[in-house]
Amino acid sequence: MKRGSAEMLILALVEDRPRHGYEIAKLIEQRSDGVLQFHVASLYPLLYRLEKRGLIQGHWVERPSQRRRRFYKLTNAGQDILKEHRDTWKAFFAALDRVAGINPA
Amino acid sequence: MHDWKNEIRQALLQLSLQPLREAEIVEELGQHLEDRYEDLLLQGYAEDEAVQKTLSEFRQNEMIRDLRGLERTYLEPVELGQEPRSSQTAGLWQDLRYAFRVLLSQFGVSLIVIITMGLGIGVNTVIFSTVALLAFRPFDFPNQDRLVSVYERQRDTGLTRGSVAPGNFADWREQNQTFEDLIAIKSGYFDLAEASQPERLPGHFVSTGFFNTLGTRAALGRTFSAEDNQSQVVVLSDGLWRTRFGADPQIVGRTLKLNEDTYTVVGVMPKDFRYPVGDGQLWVPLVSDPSDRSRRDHILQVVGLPRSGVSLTQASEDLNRIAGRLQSEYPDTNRGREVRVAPLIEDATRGVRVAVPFMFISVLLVLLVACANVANILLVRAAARQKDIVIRLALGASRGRVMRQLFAHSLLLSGFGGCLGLFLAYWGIKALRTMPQDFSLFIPGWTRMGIDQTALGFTLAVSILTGILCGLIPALIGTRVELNQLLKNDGPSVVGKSSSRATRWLVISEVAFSVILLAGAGTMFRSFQQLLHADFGINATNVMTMQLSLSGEKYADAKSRYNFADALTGKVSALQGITDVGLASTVPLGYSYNRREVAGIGSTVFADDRRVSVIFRTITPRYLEAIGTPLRQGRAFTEQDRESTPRVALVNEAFARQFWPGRQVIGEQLSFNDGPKYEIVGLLANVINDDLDERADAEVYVPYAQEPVRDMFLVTRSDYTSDALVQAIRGEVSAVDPSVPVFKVKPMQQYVNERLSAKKMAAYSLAIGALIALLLAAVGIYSVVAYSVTQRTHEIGLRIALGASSGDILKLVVGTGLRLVLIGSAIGLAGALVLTQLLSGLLFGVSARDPITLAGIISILAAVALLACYLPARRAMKLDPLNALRYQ
Repeated sequence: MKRGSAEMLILALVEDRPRHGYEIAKLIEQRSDGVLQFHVASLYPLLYRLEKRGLIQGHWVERPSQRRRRFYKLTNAGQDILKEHRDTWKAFFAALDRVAGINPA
Repeated sequence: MHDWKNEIRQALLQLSLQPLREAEIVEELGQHLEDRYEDLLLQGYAEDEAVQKTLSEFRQNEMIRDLRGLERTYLEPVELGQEPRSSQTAGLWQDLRYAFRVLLSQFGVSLIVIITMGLGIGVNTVIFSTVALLAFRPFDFPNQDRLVSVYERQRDTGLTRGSVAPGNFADWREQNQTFEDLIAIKSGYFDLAEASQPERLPGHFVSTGFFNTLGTRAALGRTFSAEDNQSQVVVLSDGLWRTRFGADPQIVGRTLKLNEDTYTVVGVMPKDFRYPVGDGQLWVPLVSDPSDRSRRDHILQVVGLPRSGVSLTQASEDLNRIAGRLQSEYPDTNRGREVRVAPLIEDATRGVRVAVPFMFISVLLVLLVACANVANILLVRAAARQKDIVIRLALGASRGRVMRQLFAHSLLLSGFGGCLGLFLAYWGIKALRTMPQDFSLFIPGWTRMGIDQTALGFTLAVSILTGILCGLIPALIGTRVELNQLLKNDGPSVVGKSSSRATRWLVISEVAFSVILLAGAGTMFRSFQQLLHADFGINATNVMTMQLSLSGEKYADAKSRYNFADALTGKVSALQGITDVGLASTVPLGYSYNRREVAGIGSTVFADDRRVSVIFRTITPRYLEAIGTPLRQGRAFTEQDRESTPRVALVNEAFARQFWPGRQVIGEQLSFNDGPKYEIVGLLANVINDDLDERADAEVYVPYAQEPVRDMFLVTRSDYTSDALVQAIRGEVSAVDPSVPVFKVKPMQQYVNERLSAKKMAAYSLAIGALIALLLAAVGIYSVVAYSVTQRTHEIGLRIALGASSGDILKLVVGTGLRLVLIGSAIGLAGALVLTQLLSGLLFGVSARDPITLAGIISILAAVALLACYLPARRAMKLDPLNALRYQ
């Protein structure tokens, strides 16, 4: 996988609303029909890394009659990086398409 | 269920994470694994399989490798129950914010505390600053602490501050071994003929060493040097330079016509330089004629700068040794003449220093009352907050933390109080500084008044310390208690008991201090009132005065001066509205007077050294009517008392009592030093010449026709006073001789008011202090009684339920307060009787233990105390017994 693709996936998933770690992992697995899988060992170091870089921000949320969970939301800096990633990938796919006739859509 | 967290915790051991961080990761990952496990179960896995699968996905080693270097360095928001050490300062900020909210929620009480502290700090800073400056550092020249005033002293006549004769001064100066320099000053008037309007300026002749001895420099140009001894040079005051010469920067080198001589301006003094004290506008060298060694005319004011290391006693002994020699050399003039040396500052501020002890005591009392009040209110509040404190402690707050919160509260209150105090002090001093100049000119240092750093620091420290201590003491008591016992306890609390004893004593002492202050202020006020209605021997209503000076060759001859006076009084008395007009060499309260030594009366002739000086005044016949001094016996002067007729004189009652007690003074002969004999033809009422509350001086009046002087006051009494009338009078002076300067045009009433203003200020400042103390005491009484009503709500409710009438409740509550007031008043009264003795020197026409005043202030205090008790009592009377019984 291209370097930074996992990073982009996570940023994209928390773009529209904050999500907790398990939800992120599950969404990736579901939406990729099980092709892409994130487990505890790979997901959390990545989340912490993103958080440390200031691209996402985690905070504990308590809801009545639920255990508290840590939700991650996209920061402004994360938004910028996500856009950058998207542009790069679009250009990459366009190039692949022109060269090898792959249409990802 | 599997213990996921344990697995994770074991794995994380390989990393060195902060405990908080580790707990978070464990919690987050644990939940993930739990969620995964539950999902697997839902998908149909058996429990064992689900556990196995979940664990297999938790690839520890991979995770640990990726987590390295990710230990977060920033801190999460602090959660309840946890307090990292590093947030101590953040906590203090939090405490201050909390304190501010408490302060706002108790706005009324906080405001009272702040105002109380502000008043205490403000009043104290003003008084301390003023006293520190006026009594201890009144001058702005560097040598003020080293300089000494030198006087002649004659023990058997009681002369202690005698001016110095030029002959004696010259000998002291030449023969002494202890002084760097001795300087002489002679004050006088200078006619400045610069512009169209001739002007008469007060000024000083000074030794050329004058400025160097004081250690002061000119703001512009230079001061005098030893070479100026014989030259015609002048140094101007800043005021004169600005008003008369438009602050001309080129003034140095210009020449002026002074007393018909030409003087060159060599310098201008700085703005605040005013020495000798008064309204002197210029300084010229005292040209000493070496042959003038007169020892009879005592005309010089002498100041000396002792060599460093020379004590006051050594300097005094040195000069007295010389004086001793002079006594035997010149027995005619110097018999009994000794030298008195006193520190300059002490000597110049002796008038102010009389008031110093009382001012210090009164401001200290105000400060004490203010502090007592702050302590009182804070103690009462702390008692009320005790439950609150206990709950905090029970919830796990540390004792230190609770104390810090209380501390923050006191700190905030003190801070606001301090700011208010600073503002009040600044404003108060500004108000004082703008007092009428005629009055303040004669008090050295007045114009340089400002906030004294030490004074401000001292009062700020005292009151802020009070605030903080009173905030902390209840905290200390309150946080040491057994939680369990207190939470169970419904009755009066521990803090309540110990602090209510303290507050009672605080109120008692407040009342006592207020009584003392009120007694002082009351007596001063009564004395001032007496003074307002006192008889000064004149009637100042509608009396106008102005000064004239007949200088130069033109008036060298006595006849020409008499002719001028005669023409002028004739013209002025013809003016519409003028009822009487007279001329006099000096007027009562006019800041200057002439003295002569009485050589003999009747057949008694006094020895040279036994001669006593009396005030000597030359007047025209209608002067007495113009100024309003009544004739008691005999006759006044008439137009028939001429140069050619026998010499006559009038004396006042003080003179008769002093020189001719119990005998008819009219018809006796009176003589001055080397002078002719005068026949006493009339007896006049006493007039007050200097300080309003001083005893009248012995005086002698002689007719202007027989001794026409050059300098005089024109005194007019009219039906009304107006500027037009003053203009008309000036016009008549010009009509007689346009070259005669008219100056210091002033209503007689203004002279009286200027003298009154010092007394007025003393009386009013004491009254303000006493009012503040009374107000503070009232607040103190109110807060204690109101608090006791709150504390006893339950009990009062019970009483009402059992049939107590509102009258009974009123008696109960008011009784609580009045008992304190009575004890306080008794203590205060005892103190007042002692302390008002201090005032007796300042009082006029009223006893220091004036019963009317004391009765008056006790009734004022009682009325105020009753009101302060009544307000909470009314609340108690309106209590609904049902609610009150439920109240805990």
